[in-house]
Amino acid sequence: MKLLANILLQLNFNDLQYSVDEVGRSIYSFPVHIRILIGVTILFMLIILILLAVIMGSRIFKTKRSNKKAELHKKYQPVFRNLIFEEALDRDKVLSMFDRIDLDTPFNRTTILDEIIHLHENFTGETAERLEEIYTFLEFEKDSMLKLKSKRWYIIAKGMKELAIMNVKSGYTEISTFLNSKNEILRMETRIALMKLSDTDPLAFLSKETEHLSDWDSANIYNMLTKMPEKMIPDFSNWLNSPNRDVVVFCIQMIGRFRQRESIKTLLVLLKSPDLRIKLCVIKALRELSATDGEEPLLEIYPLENLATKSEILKHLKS
Amino acid sequence: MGLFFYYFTNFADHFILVYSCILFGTYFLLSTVSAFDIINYMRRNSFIDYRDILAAPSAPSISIIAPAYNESKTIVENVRSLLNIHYVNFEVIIVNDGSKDDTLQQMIEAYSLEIVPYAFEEKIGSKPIRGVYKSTTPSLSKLTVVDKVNGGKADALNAGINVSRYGIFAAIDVDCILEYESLLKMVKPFMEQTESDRVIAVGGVVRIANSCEVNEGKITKVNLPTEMIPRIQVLEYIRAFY
Repeated sequence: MKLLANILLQLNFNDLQYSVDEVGRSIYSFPVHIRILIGVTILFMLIILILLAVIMGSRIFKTKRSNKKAELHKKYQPVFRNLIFEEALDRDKVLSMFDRIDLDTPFNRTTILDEIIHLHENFTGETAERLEEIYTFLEFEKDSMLKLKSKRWYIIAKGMKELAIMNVKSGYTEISTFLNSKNEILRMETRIALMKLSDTDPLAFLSKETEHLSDWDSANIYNMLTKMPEKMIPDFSNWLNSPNRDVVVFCIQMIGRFRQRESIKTLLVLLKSPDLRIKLCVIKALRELSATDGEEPLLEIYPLENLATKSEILKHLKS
Repeated sequence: MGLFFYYFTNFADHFILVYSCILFGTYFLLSTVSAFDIINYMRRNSFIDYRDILAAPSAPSISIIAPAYNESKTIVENVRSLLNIHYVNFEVIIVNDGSKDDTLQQMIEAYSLEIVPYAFEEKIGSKPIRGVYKSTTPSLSKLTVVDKVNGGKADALNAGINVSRYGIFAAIDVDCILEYESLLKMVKPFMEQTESDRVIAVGGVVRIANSCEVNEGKITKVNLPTEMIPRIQVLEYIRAFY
């Protein structure tokens, strides 16, 4: 270090071989394309340096945030444990267990909310109800409702998910406005939320469904239905006249899955549908229902059908 | 000659400049687009539970086709790994592409295979099939082994496609390890398709498993190699795929 300082002190900058002007002049002495090349090289190097800085900065930021999250998790883990096993909860008691500053800082507040949601996903029964109370006492309901007003679809979807998990019935009307959204994830989250929040008719939204219902959407709805008590499963034949063909197909599939044998007669009527997809679904549903009274109409239509339908009819007859 | 050399070097200079600019520009553009797409994919993924497909009545059936050539050392383990894939309705078709070692014999012994009469339509041309084998053990009903005359990987895949029963097929190498939810992830686009937007093929992320932790045919931890040269090889391999 000392040696470097001595060298620098001994340097006479006036004696340097090239001044900045001379360097500039020597660059201009190159042909145009070489000058462009030098410029482009410097530009690319700058971009790479900026990208590296962004990546490094982002990693540092993420690590810091994750450490902060871990700290908060550690801090409130015993608090949640105590609250969950308390006999009775009231607002003041819950609020006294949390630091005001954590509830007022957006990042800390979101982390606490995420923790409650995460715990709720892993618990049922009384513990889940207790977590719902904590959620209400800490006024997270407002946070979730506020998310529904966001312009970003993933924030809206998160808000919906929170309201549905925490069983906030007052959010039903607000959530239903997204039922025919152009964003398919948002549509899906809306359906799931509405199903969770509905007391009597979980599939009421099917009557308002105008958008395409993909097999993936059907899988999600079916999965939700399988988690519901039997008395909540609706009569799917109610939607067999729906103007939305996807809804009709879904309901036919569900009639078969939930063994709604009382709908066999309606299914047999749909066998005459000119829509090949509906026809195939009806034959599959009849097979699932082991509908022997469907054999005769199937044999009647057999000679006029295409290979795929014929194959399904044969499978039905075989079963 | 001097003039030719002058024009040649001049052309080479300009060519290298334009080529470098296009290459860098393309990489930069691709990286930017990918960055936004990855963010979007991660956001979308945070709302998806792929396990829903497992219970779905409309989940499509898949034929997994894996050609094998001289793989006797690892074939039994690899087939077991494929049979343990997490999915609802699938069949595994191993195509023995005229192996010169005892690949077929190993499978016959390990999975109690026997030659069966098997009806299939030869939609795509391939080298002659010597026989189709099925297991006598009911729990291995998903496994089909096709023994055919050697014709290369593409030919073996064609034979596998002819024998397959389902509408969607996944073509992989027999020594590949499929990630736990990979088939579920690959099937999702097929389940999302509409009559106007048809899905004809889906690709997956390919990684080198060399330094990863593999437990009972499943990757439990993804690692990069510790040495510099293997690291560069991994990078080059990944780059070659995209």
